[in-house]
Amino acid sequence: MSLLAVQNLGVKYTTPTQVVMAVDDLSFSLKAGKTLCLIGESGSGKSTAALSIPQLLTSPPASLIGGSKIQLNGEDIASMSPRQLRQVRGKSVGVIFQEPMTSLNPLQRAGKQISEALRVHQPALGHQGRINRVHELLVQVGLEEPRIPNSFPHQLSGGQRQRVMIAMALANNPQLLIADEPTTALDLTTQKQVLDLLKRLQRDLNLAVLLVTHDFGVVRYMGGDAIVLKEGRQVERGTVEKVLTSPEDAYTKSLLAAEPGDPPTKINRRSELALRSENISVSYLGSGKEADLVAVQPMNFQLALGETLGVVGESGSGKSSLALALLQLIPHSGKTYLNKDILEQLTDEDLRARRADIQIVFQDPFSSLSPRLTAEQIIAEGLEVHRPKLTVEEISNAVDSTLSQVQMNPIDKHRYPHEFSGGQRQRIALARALILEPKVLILDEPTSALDRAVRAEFLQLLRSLQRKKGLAYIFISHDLAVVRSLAHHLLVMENGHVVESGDVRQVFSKPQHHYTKKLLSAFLT
Amino acid sequence: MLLKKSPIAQRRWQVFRDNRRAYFSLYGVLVLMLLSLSAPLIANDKPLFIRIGGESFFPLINDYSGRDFGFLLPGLDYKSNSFSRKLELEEGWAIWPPIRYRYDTIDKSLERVPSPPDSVHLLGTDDTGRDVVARFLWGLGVSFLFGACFVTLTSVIGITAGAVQGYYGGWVDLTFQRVLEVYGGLPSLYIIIALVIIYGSSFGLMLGVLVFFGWTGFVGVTRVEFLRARNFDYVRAARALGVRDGKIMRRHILPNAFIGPISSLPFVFAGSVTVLTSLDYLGFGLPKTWPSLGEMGAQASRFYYNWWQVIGIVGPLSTLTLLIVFVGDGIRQALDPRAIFSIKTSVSKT
Repeated sequence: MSLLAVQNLGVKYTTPTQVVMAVDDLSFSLKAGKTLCLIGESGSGKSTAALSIPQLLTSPPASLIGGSKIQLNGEDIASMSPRQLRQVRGKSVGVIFQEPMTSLNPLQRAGKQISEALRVHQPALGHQGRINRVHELLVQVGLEEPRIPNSFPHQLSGGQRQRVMIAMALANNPQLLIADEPTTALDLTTQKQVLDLLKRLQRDLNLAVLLVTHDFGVVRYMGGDAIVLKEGRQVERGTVEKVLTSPEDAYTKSLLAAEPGDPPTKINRRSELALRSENISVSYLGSGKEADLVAVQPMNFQLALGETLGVVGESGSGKSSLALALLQLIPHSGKTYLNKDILEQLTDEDLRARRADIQIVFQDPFSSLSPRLTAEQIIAEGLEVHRPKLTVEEISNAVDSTLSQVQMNPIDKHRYPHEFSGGQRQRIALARALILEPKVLILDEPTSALDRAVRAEFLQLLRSLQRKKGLAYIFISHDLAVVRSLAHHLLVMENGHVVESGDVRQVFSKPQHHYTKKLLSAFLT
Repeated sequence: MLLKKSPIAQRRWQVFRDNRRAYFSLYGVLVLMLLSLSAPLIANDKPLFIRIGGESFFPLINDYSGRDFGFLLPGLDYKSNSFSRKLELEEGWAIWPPIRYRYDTIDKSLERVPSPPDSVHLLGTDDTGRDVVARFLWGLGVSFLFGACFVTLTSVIGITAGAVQGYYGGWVDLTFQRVLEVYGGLPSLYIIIALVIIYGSSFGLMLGVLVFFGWTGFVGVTRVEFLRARNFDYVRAARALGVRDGKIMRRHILPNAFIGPISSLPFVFAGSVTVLTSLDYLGFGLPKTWPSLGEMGAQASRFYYNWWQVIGIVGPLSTLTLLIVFVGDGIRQALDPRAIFSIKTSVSKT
């Protein structure tokens, strides 16, 4: 008999304006020791489906529709009282969330948070019993260091926090572990370690794992069965191998085809230099007795028009600080040559004028647009600064043509950011930069918040713009697949140092530095 | 801000309306405001309009002397017997406000003061024979005016200061914070008393002094929002575009930083009205000739056994502050992003 049996699961969200079916008629079952992956883009209902099993959705607005059956060990969860539900949560079912920073309480030490689950479900354990069990759990998830139980979440790294989350989920020996995008917020190397840990625990404890993810790399690594969801409905199911290698549904095929595989644009060997940095370094002042933090060690590079420099590194490696320093937005030392000018030596007014030549697109399309301005106001802002003599009509025309360049319909320009999808917002951010006709465009993880299919389209757009306009890109990313399909040159950064640089193909095929090797080996696809 | 027809504003307005208490309180405040600001039309010792001998007179707009009506002396009392006899003789007529007493009109016909309510003085009179209803209507008007001026001035100064402090951060922020701490330590009550003794009390002085001590209340809420927002990507993007600091603050940060200060506005308003009343009560507020709620309060505490005087001050003042606090609560809820995106039932609970 299977451990978990879900039949005709339906979840709807009721908002004041509409009712949305987030999950529609979904059935699956899962045996002990097996893995089931729920795969889909954002908004496909995969998390909603998984979280409805321990009834963790906030109700209202979410509610199960009639006829939904969720059986765990033959008991119907959907009809349980809140008291019985608490027995299920944390005891029979453990849950790991995507963002370990927000799912741990920042004001409590890690050990205490783990023992809380024990206190609720195993009161007989006693104080010393709980301490022993917490220690045992931490060893199980690979956190042997004695300082861990007494550390606050902010004193732990992302990977350590996720391990603490796993320890919490496992505290009461659950039979089912629900992992909702457990590695999405983690760096590549950490991701691999956490997935290895999950696999080992599954084997040792005979756990059933329900894995929710959008990442085919993760799915391939974990194996088991897979269900592909689209708009709350199942479009394909089967073993992971079958779904990945011989998909039958058109949607699954399009998702798989959206892996960035195209090569970068051809480069012109004689194109002129766009940007050169000389000994750029960034350090943040330490407070009190703390030493200053050097985010970027002195580094040199140059970039020609029409070329892309990929900057790769894990979080905290100084990639984004480098971007902000090149834009002259944070204090730094060193020189940035843009054409003949040294940006650091310009007066405020001159620098303001030169800003049109170097622009940026940020990672998160939800925070990079002012929520209260329309798309047109956002895009037109740069023109109002740099070409104040333009008439309203000229500005409006320029906005229209820039929107067409980023493949959006100019009719939409009167709408507000929240009315656009993530991919569309990122295009608006791109248009805001492009309208000034910059020479250098810094792209700070522009695709990491986007779904696969959207990401592929966006990369295609970047390539064609580079070809047409001869733009120089500085492309910052932790996603090696994306970098390989866009960049010509590569800088690999670790803790503020450039550990390796050179031609992209060369670095990928013959990495020299051990850090680059480690990064490439953790690359799942 | 609520008037803009953006979808978010519409949603906020709907959340506000769904909060019945706040919605009806808003109407209550508006009615009180209308009543008190039209006090000259409701409670006055001059007729609104006089028609006599084929001529029209508007005593509220023009100052007439006795000679304009054919009296020998320039002195003119519309309520005197001689004036009403003249109207009768020349077959003229006059439209009077519902209450024929201004806040400072002394009813000399009374046998003893304070006099209890009767058909002429609905809430009786105070110890000099002045009508209580007339006084609270006029006094409320002054309070509204004061509150509005106070809130406007303090919010403009406080929000500007908080914006600059939060946006530039670092040393600007640190220095300013220390200055504000010292500032907050000033003994405001004693300074007010000293100034009133030196310069004599006036509306302008009261407003100036209270604004001088009051604007710091808006600095904190604005500062945190700006401190947070200056690292937002869209603010960085605007800086990278070369937009000037002032414009970034106004256009990109302020609209999103408004929520804190805006939701505290009604409470600040109610607070300022109460402070003015308390100062009046102590005798360091508005000039003695002004209609003042505080002075009425002082009388009410002296003649606590005259229920009409107690009700005449406690009623309007507590109603006003209570209604404003309810409205403020509604506004705070309507501006709360969680309330906007959750559904009706969870809104009305709190």
